[in-house]
Amino acid sequence: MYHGLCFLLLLMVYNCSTVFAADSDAVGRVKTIKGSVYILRGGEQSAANIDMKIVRNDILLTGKQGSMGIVFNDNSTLSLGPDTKFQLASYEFNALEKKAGFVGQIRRGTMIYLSGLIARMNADATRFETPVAVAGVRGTKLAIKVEGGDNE
Amino acid sequence: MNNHVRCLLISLPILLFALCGCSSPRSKFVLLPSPDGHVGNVTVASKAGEIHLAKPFESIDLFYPDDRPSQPVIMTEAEFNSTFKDALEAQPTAPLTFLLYFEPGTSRLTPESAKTLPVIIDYIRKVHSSDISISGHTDKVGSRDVNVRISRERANEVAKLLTSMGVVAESLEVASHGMELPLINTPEGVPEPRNRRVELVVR
Repeated sequence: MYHGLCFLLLLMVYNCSTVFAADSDAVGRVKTIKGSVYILRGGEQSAANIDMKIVRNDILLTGKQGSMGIVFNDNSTLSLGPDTKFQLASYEFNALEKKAGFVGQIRRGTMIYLSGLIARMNADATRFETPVAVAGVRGTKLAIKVEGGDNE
Repeated sequence: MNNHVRCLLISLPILLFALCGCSSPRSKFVLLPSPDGHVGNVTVASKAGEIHLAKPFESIDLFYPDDRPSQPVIMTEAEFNSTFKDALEAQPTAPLTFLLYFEPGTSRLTPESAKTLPVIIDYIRKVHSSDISISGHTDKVGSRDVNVRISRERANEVAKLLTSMGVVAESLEVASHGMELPLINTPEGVPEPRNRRVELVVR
């Protein structure tokens, strides 16, 4: 058991640095898309497509029949249902600098998040904010639905 | 006062309240078991207080920022599946990590690891991955410089093997880390087969 844990921990430490060595800007990639899906980055809105890179502060928007799935560098995954507005407010994942954190803001719609290595590095570093409350996620899977939120 | 005006005076606040009610951003939080069966926990906090979700499908609804979170309720799986249907279907496949091991001081795969290559290729095809990271590592035998070179050769060897088996080169991100990131911590000079490896993450 102890050895298993050590292995996991080391595997985790190693993985983070690898990803960061490869690309320091992209923190994840779009892996599934259905219907109309957009990414709002620095005020510019563009249609999302498969394998598109996600960076910090991106706002993800899905249409009435839209949905999308993302895999982040720490192997955590996020999926969004239709009519959803989600912003990746913060993302830190660097084992060598011991940085780990994930903050998402969901203004409307549905999402499912499955935690990855960030949660193993720092159990208190992942949270999701809705217009009425904040969810702190400790190494698990969480679904959130926000109804009647931001209609921009 | 005119009856119509009175009616309006009474109904207007009700109407406004109803409208506000409609646009209040109700939030629902549901804790789910991870695919491996593990259930972590979630703390949901509003301005008025906080609550812990710790059981599968435990959920809490909040209507206003100053709502005090009350007792969580267990959502039925059927209700969950219909509420989150599209988000469920949009979930990506979680990344999978493979480890390949090498003969000491070389970029030659161990016979066991060579045998796992077809399994990896099958998996890459199955998930249509075009996002694969390959990183080479060594144990702590020999100098840093030599190990940097060996780890690079190991990563390149695996990249070469994958492309020779039909994986598109553009899908690969190759990195090498010498002896700096061992899986098993050892003193310098100690041979450790589990550190003589390439890690392959298929996303």
